[in-house]
Amino acid sequence: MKFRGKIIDPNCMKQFYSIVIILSKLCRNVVLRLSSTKLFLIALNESNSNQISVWSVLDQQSFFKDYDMIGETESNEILFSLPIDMLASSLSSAKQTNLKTLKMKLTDKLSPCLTIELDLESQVSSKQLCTHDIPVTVILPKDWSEYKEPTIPAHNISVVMPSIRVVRHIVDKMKRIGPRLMVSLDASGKMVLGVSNLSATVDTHFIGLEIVSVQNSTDKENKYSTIVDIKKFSQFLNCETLNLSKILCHVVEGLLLHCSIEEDEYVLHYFLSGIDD
Amino acid sequence: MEIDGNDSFEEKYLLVAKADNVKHISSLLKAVNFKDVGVCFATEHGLKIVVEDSKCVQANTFIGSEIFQEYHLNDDTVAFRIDLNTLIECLTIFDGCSTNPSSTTALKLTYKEYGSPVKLLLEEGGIITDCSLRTMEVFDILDFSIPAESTTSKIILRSSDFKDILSDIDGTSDYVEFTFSEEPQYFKILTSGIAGKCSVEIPSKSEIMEQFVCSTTITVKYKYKQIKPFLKCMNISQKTLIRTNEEGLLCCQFMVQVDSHTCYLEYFSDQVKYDKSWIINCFSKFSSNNEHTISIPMTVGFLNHSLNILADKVNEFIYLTPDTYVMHSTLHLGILSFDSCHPGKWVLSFNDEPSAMDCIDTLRKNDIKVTDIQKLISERVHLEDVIIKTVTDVGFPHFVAEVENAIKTNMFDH
Repeated sequence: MKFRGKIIDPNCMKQFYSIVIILSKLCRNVVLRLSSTKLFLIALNESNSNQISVWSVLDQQSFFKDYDMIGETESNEILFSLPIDMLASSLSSAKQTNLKTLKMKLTDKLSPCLTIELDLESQVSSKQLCTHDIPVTVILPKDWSEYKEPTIPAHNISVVMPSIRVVRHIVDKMKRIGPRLMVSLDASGKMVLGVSNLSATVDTHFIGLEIVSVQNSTDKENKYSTIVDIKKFSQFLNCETLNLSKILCHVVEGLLLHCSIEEDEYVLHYFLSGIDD
Repeated sequence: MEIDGNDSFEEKYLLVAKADNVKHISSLLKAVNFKDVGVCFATEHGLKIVVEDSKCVQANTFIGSEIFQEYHLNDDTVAFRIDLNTLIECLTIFDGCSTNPSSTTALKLTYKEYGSPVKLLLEEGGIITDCSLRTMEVFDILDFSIPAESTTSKIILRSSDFKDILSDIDGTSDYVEFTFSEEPQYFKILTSGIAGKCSVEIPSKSEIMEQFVCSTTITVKYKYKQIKPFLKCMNISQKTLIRTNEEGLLCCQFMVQVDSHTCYLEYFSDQVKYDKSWIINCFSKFSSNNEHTISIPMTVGFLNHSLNILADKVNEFIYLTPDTYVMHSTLHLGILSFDSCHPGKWVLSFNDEPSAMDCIDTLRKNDIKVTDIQKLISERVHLEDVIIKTVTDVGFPHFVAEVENAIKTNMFDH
């Protein structure tokens, strides 16, 4: 089992860092799945029968200059889990301009570790090398089935999310009114966020959203809604690095709210299962 | 915002008000939001929102009809009680959404008839929020006023400087004493907390004092928590006017400039007359399917006219009429108390919904009219006299013990 990778492009480092930051806001442990062409970051929802809550895929070639891995099974993959906040804090210098290279490798120190090596260059002194060892737990092939690509259920409707900053502010206000958020989308391009408590009901309407796909486009009035835990949705919206991305929002009536970012180099899916009213 | 300007349409409503900028309204409301529930009175001159606590503090804000671009009222006065926290959350829902500082939130408020919810329609940057807020029936509210002829002292201070002084006073002090001195002329604030006594004296000649009138030296005493909410008002106001009468009723008026109009915030505080407290142990069943009973030490406090029973971790409550108190011996219930936010009501507090529902079932079995929680909440009971009679009675501590015992015995009966 062997893995080493090197990123030198400053934009790639920033992007990699921002994906890690998003994950660190949403969960504690992340499973890194490495294959010869792709790098997967997977988070399970421990409180909900280990369903996948975040599924992100990075294209190895777009991020890494050097990428070298040998797995122990036929499929040539490596899976290990690590505390994501440690990875996020190790990479925090990735947002600085003086970082020249970012190297990652699997090492066998006292325990299996993911070693992060950062080459920093400053104007006053010459090179600095900064090394972080993050303890990892290697996942045995018999447990790999839990980290299979999730089958994404057929969406009733998909739209482009309105300005994430605005949605975040509104959801954060709504969080103080009630614990459950109803997200409704309809074929006319309207998104309604609603919350209620004993003394009030509050609905915010966003109109004119771009529709990506809809199951039944003839009936503009037909709306699809899901009720989700407002705190979890707010957590997702509060990932500041999301601000610049185009986010798609999908609803499976009553079952699932699914947000996704789909770029050429990487995709990130966030699944929030519906709760009963 | 799409607004139907049709007159006949508006006549169907008791109240319709529209404002271009909701910020002024929300900042005034925030200043009086020291309790969750407020009473809203609409008259032809504007909206008045009154908030009370423990029958000894009353705050009100008057939002003149000129603050609204449109204001229609189809009755002499319209009054309802409303959850102020939620109202403020709704009004400020677009706060921080826009990067353009000059963009404002527009509001249309409608109230159809007594008992119907207040509807708010808010719009900013093409995004619309509609809210429906449940209204509750209005209780009698305290009639605090200090007519000019009974005013014994009156001072006007610059809010910004007075705020600095007031925010520095010792928060560990239970009481705050104000002295208005006739000769030499000064205004004094005295606190005594853990760190010792501290007094601040503002002479009448001080730069921050704009006016000082005092006909006789008077010292008045208030609870610190009665004074603390003033700070919120000072943040948005320019001037503070403080008046007292012989009984020691304190009236603080804050002048707030809204565009070219002036709005007022007012706080009345009754002087502390009786202030006693006891600790009792209450036994509570945390949920209906849980056999464990938990003893909760509670503070029973009696301040001037109101009895407050405070306990931690209490978050569900239902409201009962006085005859249900007699029935308490048949109930296995949580905590019996008088509610401080809804003066004159008896309250049963529960830690969770199942045990509350359980209690309602018991009440039904005992032929006590309980239709639903909503009904209970809106049921009007005025118990002020009963409370005063009860707590001023020499046997009151005995009564407290009795309540404690009754609840305790019941717990073990089940």
